[in-house]
Amino acid sequence: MGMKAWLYAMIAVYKRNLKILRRQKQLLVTPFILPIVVLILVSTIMGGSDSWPIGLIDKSDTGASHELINSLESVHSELAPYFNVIETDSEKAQDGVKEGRLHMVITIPEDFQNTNKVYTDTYNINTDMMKNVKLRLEHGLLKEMDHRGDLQIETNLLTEKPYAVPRSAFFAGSAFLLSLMLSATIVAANLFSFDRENRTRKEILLTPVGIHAAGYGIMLASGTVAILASLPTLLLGIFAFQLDLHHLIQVYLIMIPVMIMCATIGMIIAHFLKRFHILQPIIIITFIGTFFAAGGFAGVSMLPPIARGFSTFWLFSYIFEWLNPLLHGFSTNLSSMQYLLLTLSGVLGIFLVPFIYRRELRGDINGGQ
Amino acid sequence: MLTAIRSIVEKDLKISSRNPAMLILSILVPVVFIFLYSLVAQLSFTNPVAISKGSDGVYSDQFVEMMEEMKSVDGSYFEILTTDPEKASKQYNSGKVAGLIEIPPSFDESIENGEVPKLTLSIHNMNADTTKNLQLRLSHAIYLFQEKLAPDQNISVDKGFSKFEQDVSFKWYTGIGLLVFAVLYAAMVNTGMLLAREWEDRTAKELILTSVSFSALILGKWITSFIQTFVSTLLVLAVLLFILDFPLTRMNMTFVFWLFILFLLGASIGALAASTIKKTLPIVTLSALIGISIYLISGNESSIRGFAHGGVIESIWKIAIYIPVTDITNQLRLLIITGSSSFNMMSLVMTTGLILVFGVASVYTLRKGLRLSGGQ
Repeated sequence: MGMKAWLYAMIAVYKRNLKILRRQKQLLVTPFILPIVVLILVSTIMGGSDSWPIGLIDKSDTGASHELINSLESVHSELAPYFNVIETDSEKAQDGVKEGRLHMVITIPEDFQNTNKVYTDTYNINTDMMKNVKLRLEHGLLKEMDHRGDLQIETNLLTEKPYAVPRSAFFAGSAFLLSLMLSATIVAANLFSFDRENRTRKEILLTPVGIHAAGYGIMLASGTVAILASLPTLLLGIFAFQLDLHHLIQVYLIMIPVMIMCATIGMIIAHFLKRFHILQPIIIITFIGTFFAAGGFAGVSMLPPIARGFSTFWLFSYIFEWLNPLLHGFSTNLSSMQYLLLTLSGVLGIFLVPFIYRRELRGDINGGQ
Repeated sequence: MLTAIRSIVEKDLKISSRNPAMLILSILVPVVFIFLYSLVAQLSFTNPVAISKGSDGVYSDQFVEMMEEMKSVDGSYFEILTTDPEKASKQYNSGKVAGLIEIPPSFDESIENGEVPKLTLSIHNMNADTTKNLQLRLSHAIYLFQEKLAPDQNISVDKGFSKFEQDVSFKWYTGIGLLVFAVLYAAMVNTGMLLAREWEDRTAKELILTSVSFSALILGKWITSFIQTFVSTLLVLAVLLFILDFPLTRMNMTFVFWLFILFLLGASIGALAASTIKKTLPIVTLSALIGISIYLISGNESSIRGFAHGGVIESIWKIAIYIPVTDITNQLRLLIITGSSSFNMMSLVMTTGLILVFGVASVYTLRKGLRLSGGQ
């Protein structure tokens, strides 16, 4: 069989795969929905505003207390004030903190000028919330001490870029990369498994054309779906989560060899695990885990030692580490070595396909096929 | 009916023992998710940082020691990778660490002379959260140092009311949410798959043509699912104990009862999904989506409640308070944190109502949708 026939076969399988995906919409749920759900929930719950709602009661009502309030209200992160004072009525604030509607109420007592002391009431439901409010308060108190000229140590903050990337925008960039990797993998796995589940495997395996043409057809289809599935996540990130995109085309181009490798990995998983219901959750949980623990949720350098160790050999984490800086404008290019490694991964992905199909051919065909 | 239920349970257990992939899945997925998410939990209490200690003296030693020692009940605030100026600079420039604290050479001398030394905090600020976390932790260190160095000039903070005796461990807090996720997910997947595979394995017509009612079929599936979910919950608890120091000894009968109610809720959702969709593939995806969404919304309700004042977060919080799992999760947390035996009857009534609705709906859907295809 000539190259032309082989090419026709590949394109035929590609078109057939797209048709299958259009008819079997269940196969598209994960690639299109999951990254969006992850992005919405993580960004809303964990990437919300930096302004923490608190109660602030001024029982002193003096110049000193007013200055302290100014300091507390003016301390801010790169994006927003650290505190959002939403309650100043003592009784309502106490009720709020008891019910958990406020995590902290700061009370400046009547004798503040003499005691130099403030009181806090807390809904201390977990250390993470308490760290956020208590450390913000101390930060505000330091500012006030600085105003008074009482501060013993000053700090100077130097950031790599003059602009800040909000947490939700960081999550959005990662969710976009996640959607490309996850979609390429899971669609390829599903399509590979589809022939087994729908008893059409023998038609593929008995073709006179090189059977791996089917694998490349799957690769093309999964790449197409991955790019399409990334668009809703990308748009959501831009319009809802302040994602300020840089180098988008470059990132898509860089992701091509990654998607090729992901598709091959999907086919390998499907070859070994065989059934939809087994490979689906494994792929989903692996990628969600990768997002959370290997660079998608926070940069690898901020992760605990065990996660940093895991990320050094978990290759997907390098995608977040290398491409997030590009997406957010913290770098303009990858290094030559990074380009080389990514290209090699794509080449390896292409070369592995015939081996998968040869192995698949060796297996038994049963169950009425 | 009892004989029918027993037969279904025996048949399903036999199939599961021959092909344990399903059981492994119901265990593997929550275990992997819990393991990975617990890594993220650690992110909230310990942040790696490099310190370039340019000064050598009592004050700088004390300051570094303070940064090493400051912690919450869950762990240290800082993981100091190095204090060597050269290594610190190298690690920061290579991106191995997101933050660098520079203690200037004049630090000790300045303090001795009554001057104010200036620390520099350099941050790769690609994520504003990183900047905030490192900045606030450094401020905490300075606040503690200030308290020691010049107590008279320090504005001190006294604790008034706090909901719990001490701040609740984030490990425990997360652990409860993850346990709820694990039980719900395992119940949904096990029940859904046990039911849907009758269609995929082309054995549905034998079940449909039986003279026994569909309730027996659903109940039989629930019992098998319970056995499988029980096994996976035990393993999940072992993982939680190992990774998040989960206090197993604080679990009492009320705790176990609520877990059982959660199982029934998950099983009823799984049964309804399977009797509607009749395919295993979407059930797994759906269960993962529902489980993770419920974990993020209901599992974090008591955290988001405090900052749900306007915007999308308030809408999410309002949704959370209508999901019965939210209150059950909060009660489970109370049981673990305080050891109390509080019991909210309203939650039980609401959840039981939902279980009944989903259960009846799944039997109804099975009766309505008696269509067999694909040679069955």
